Amino acid sequence: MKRKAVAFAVLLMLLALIVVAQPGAVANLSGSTAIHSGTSAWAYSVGMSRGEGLIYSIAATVACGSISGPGGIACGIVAAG
Amino acid sequence: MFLSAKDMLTLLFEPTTFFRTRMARKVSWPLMIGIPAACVVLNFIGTAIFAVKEFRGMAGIFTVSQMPSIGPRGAVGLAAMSSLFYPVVIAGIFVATICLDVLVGAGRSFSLPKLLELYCLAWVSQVPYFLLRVILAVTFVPPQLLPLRLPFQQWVMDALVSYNDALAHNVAILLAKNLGYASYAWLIVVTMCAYYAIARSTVVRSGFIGSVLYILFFVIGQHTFSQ
Repeated sequence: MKRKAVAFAVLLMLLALIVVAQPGAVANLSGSTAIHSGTSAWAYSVGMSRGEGLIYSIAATVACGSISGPGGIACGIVAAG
Repeated sequence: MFLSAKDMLTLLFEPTTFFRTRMARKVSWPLMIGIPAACVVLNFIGTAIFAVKEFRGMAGIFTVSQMPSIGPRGAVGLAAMSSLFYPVVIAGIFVATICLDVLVGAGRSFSLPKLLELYCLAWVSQVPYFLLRVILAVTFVPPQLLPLRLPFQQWVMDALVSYNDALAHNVAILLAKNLGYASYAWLIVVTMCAYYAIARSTVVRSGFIGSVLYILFFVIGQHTFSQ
């Protein structure tokens, strides 16, 4: 019973990990004209200026839409940085 | 250490037989690392080519708007980060399978390193898709945007929305995405053949676990994280 409880908890955590990263990564470009992607801390860390980082974030979010599966997930996270 | 052509054909047409044969052998760490690594490299090449071309297509929008443009380095970085996520997915599928096995499995014990090896081997099924994706990326022509006569801020937004819509309807991208969905479904089928072989599970139970894994990683994940 204890093993099953732990297994269930781990599964829930996996689901939560997948869902929790959602808000930053979503760019609803097709439905509205609002870009939700924020400034990309990841881009700044590799030496981009603030403006470049923001543009990178927006461009990356658009580019991520063309990747299916796990790559698209990671791409969205990187874009949201 | 390596997979022969016969092994590959067996994996393609009789995955359960292939995995049962592998179970009798010692765990091959080079194969366990090599196959996901090959997938990462192939995916990186395809994604980098797509991303460089897409970024080039967007460069016009940023240049006209007097915004800083992004060079190919940004696209390559994006492709690298995106590709490195694949080993994380393999680990996630592995952990989720163990949990589901505890919850609904037959309760038979099996070697976890062996299961991980079989799961890594199952990614061989993705190699044709990744190769095809590289070909599609090479043939991909980014959409050309016509300048719009709108106020500055609206222009940028409208141009990006138009570009995004054009990408969504591009044949190469549509093919790559839809083949991706089919390929990941196939990956889960092959992965479940590995689980079926090692856990001596039933077809129904393996099918149930496979469905949960597909929904978790490729349906919820995809619809949560992309557009």
